[in-house]
Amino acid sequence: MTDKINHKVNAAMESLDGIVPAEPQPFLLTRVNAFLRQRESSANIWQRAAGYIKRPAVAACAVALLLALNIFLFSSSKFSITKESTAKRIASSKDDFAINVTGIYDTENQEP
Amino acid sequence: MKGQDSIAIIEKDKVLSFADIVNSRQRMVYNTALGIVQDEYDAEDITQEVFLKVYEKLDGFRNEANLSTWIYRITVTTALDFEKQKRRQKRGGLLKRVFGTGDEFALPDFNHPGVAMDKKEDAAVLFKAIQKLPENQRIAFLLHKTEGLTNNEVAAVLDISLQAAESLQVRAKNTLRVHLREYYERHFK
Repeated sequence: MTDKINHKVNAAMESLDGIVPAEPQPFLLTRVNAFLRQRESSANIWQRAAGYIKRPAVAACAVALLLALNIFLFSSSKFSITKESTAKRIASSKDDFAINVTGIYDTENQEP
Repeated sequence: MKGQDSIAIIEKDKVLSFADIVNSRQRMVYNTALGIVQDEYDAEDITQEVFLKVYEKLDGFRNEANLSTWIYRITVTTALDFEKQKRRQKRGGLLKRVFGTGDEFALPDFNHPGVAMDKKEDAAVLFKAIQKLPENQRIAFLLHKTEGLTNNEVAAVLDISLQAAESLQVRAKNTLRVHLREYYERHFK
């Protein structure tokens, strides 16, 4: 039994002797070149996009657009400050924080 | 952007274009990858990836190292990375690694196309045992056995001393014998 196992172990250890190199699929170079071309063309798209963005005219337009958007937001009715809105805000703040009331006795003595 | 035909290196006073490098080294790269990952389709993918890396890094290649040694290094690194990535991607791979038996003999047979017909069965068992070897022993053994590299060349590829390469070979063979004995003892009972 041991002899048989030893024989099998030796046979396995020697099984790679005289191994012949396996052949890869043909046209490897063509595939590698195609992959390189594809990668370079996709890199070109990003390079072109970056080049376009870096143009002074495009950059100036983008800055102008941002400024216009800011101005529009600040000048819109939501942010406009009028006398009426200021008075309303002061009144609501007084109510919220009970600014009119100075003490507990004042509250009790207040006329209805 | 560099043109694919424009890059070239000088090896032993001979100008080699990228196409020359691919054509002359594709079999070497493919067989090294095949020995490591033990799958023909994966070896194809690795071969392609290796040459893409070679293309990218060729500018930085200095003739201080042998071109083949340099490409062997890239191949070994790429194949090992590929193998690790594939192992991670396998569903439950982590759980299997933690709780599994780690029995590489349970893996499907790998039939190397270059092995003689009468040795295929023994070689399949040996390849499974090779998968159980520690990484550096496995690479040293495969480079020597399947690529026919000398210990000096193996040492250059692995960037270790000659003594270390020789020691790796001896340890790899001893470990393989132990694994093979265990396997045959189990299968002969």
